[in-house]
Amino acid sequence: MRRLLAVARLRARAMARAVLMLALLLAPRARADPSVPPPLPLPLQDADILDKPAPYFRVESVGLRYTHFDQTGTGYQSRRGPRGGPGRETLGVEEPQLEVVVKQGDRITHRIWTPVDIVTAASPDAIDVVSSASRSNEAGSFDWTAAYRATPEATLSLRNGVHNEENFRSWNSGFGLLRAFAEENTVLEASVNEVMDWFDGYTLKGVADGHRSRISTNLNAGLTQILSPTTLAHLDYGLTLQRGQLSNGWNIVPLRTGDVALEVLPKTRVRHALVGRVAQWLPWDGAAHAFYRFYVDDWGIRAHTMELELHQRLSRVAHLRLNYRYHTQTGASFYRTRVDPSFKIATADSDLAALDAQTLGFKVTVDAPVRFAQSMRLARSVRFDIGAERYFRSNDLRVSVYSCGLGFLF
Amino acid sequence: MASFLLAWMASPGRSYAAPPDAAPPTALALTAGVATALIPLALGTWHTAGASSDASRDAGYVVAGAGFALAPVVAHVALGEWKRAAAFGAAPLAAELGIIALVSAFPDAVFHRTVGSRTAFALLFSVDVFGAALGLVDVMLAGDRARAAPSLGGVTIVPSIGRDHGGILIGGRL
Repeated sequence: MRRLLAVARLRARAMARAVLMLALLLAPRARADPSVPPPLPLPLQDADILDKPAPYFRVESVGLRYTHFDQTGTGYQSRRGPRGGPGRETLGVEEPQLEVVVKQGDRITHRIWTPVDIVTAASPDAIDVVSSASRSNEAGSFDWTAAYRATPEATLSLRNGVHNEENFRSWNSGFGLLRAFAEENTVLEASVNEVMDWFDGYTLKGVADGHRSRISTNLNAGLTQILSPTTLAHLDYGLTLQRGQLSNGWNIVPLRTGDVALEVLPKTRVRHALVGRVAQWLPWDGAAHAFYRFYVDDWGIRAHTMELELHQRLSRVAHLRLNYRYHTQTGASFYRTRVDPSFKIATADSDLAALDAQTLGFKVTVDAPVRFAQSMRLARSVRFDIGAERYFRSNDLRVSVYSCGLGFLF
Repeated sequence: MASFLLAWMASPGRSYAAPPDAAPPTALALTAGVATALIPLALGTWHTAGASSDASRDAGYVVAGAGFALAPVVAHVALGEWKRAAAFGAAPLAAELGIIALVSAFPDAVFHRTVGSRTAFALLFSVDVFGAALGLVDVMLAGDRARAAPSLGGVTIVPSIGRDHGGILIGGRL
């Protein structure tokens, strides 16, 4: 960095000296009064001719967000309940997060994202009733994406992250390629991501039983196309391969005898997702976003998800987003709420059951007037948003999500 | 002499910029580095996820870490930057050697043993992953380095025309 700056400074000085000498060399030799020396011009700097160069590292934006998740409901995988189930799925999460975007030179953009989760959950807490160590579980992640603009049309990106919580560690590493065609009317993208999870195993009584591992390999390919001056469409296909212990380690399955056993899932899972999105500008300062996702995996789950978002500008500084999402899925072929003690593979996880789910939400975003932001000398622009979502589904699960964010654009 | 100096100084192309056709193959080097990191990661962790003994699981994680250790080296070598390959490969390679030493001394260190042994593995693997990431980001800067680096060779020819003179200035550093 210092070397780059030093070389750039040397180069600027050399240019200024050269311009000065060129001016002297090409100046008229015959002067009106040779006894009066002409005033020497001040050495020119790059900044005298061009705008002041941007610093090599510059913070583009800083975003702070706080999200609260509040889940209630029941599921047969939870042991926090009556014998034979279903048990409570009560869960609370407090999640502050920070996102910083930094430009390095002309071609590299870094995005650092650090969410912190404070999780309070009934189901994992029930596995260590003696110590209650799982009553409140803190988790933190560090995620770093570096995007490199190789050419005006092509961008390569690297993503690496680590997640750490009481009983679970995970590393992820990914690579993405984005290529624009036809004056950026068409954009092709592809990515590969590897996620390596390494976490505690438990016996049925909640005693730690060594560590477990699983791997998830995800491949994506997408196409974004401008269909008209006001319409944008996107298609995406994702394939995910997983192997290892795919259960969380404490989910149970009720037995016909009245006892319970730990769920046993297949060791592998192959998942396909096909996504289509359309964004349409609306003539009353609004936009509509439609989303459809088809999902299928080799566990027998087949899902359809549809979502509609309406964005409406309310004033010069505020806009509103309303969203509705509907999801329906078939259950995993081995989903049971009661099994024989001799079972080989079974789960009672309500997430893997046949279900319908709906989400309703809104978000209001206010962009502080530029004059206000600049008078605060904080940033070029300040943005504030607040939103809420309510998720509810047919097999007794409800989640409320409240979120607010503060962003600074520099 | 002044003309020679002028020619020498007024030629930014000669002094500081590499010719356009000599741009380093940054995208190729980056792709090679990423492939070096991700393929062993996928193969190694895929093996570990299906293994049944600690020694076999360890072997998978060692393979997974080896890709990260070699990624910055491969990417910088693809650019012909041998010193940077050594500099940016040092931390992930040291971490990988640490993982090998740990599982060689204590085969149960990663999946059983103590909190201390597992924390040591987690720290070493994190250094491995992020050391490799740092090295690969440095590869992204190869173009900037090439543009900024002084060039030793090259000859500059500058036409010089004034009211009372005209000529061609030829300069260069041998």
